[in-house]
Amino acid sequence: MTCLHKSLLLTITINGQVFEFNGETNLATALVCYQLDSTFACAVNGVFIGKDQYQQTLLTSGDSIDVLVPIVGG
Amino acid sequence: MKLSIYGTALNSRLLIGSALYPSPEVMNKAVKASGSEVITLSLKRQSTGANGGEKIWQHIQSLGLKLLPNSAGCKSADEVYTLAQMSRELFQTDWFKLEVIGDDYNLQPDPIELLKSAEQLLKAGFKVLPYCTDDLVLCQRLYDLGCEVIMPWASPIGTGKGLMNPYNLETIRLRLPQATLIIDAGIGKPSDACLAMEMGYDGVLLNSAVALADNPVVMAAAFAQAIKAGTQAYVAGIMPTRQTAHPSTPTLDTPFWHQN
Repeated sequence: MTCLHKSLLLTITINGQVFEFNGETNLATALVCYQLDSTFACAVNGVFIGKDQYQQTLLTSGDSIDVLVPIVGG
Repeated sequence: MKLSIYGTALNSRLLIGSALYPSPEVMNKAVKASGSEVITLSLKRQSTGANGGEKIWQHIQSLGLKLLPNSAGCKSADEVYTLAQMSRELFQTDWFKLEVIGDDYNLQPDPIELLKSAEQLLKAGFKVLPYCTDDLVLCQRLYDLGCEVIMPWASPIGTGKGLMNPYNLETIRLRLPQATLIIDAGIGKPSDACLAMEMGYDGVLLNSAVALADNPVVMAAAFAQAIKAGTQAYVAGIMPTRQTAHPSTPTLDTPFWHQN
């Protein structure tokens, strides 16, 4: 899946799915491209990122984003 | 007396899971029939564009219960730490049911990672409810770290085998009188839960035993009653067992005594 922005190509994995972004991309932008219609929480490379940090978190090529949503559990 | 979880008083001593029900409607009715005030839930990855998570979230929220997110599936303290922070942000609670699985076959907790993880989470301000085996020393170490609630298993998750090691569980209760002890996992039938409460346990957390019953709603009510019965029996004080028979009916002035 491709989400074009500027000129620099970034390859990012979101929940195991590969995305390509052009240009400097922050976490907020990447999440918009993921089109998740749910309440979620997020981690980049296994590190939790709070919602108030999405804009400031710049992604680099090879980053792996986990976007998690509520699920039933025991 | 009420169940206390990190200072929060609860009327019901039954904590219930939100998984495996035949439908959301049955889950609603079963949870209500259980009288539980705490429900467990989790986090998972979701594919782009799907909104199942939101439906589940709204459904569980609509029950109006206290939420107890878990770390099901995690195998290391690092994984748990990330998941716990995500849960805290999303569910707006610092309660956390700590699970670190060490064996895929019987879902047995990894005691080494469990202790490491509990320490890490407590330092980060979480109120940790660790799921652990019925090992006294492990429970003691968890309590010493600051876990006010300890949750030893009755038997492996989803087996329904009941209390595998009653001696171990009784010993834990005896040796950790100040801890809030909740049996988590392995309960199969209401009498298992009753037995745990008769031992003096503070509560029972279960899911499969209700969700997989032929009639989860009736089974939830049965568990609620069994847990109340067990609690009352413990409070009332159970008579000691004896090696020999003792007649209940007075033998003095027994008619026809020694006539033959």
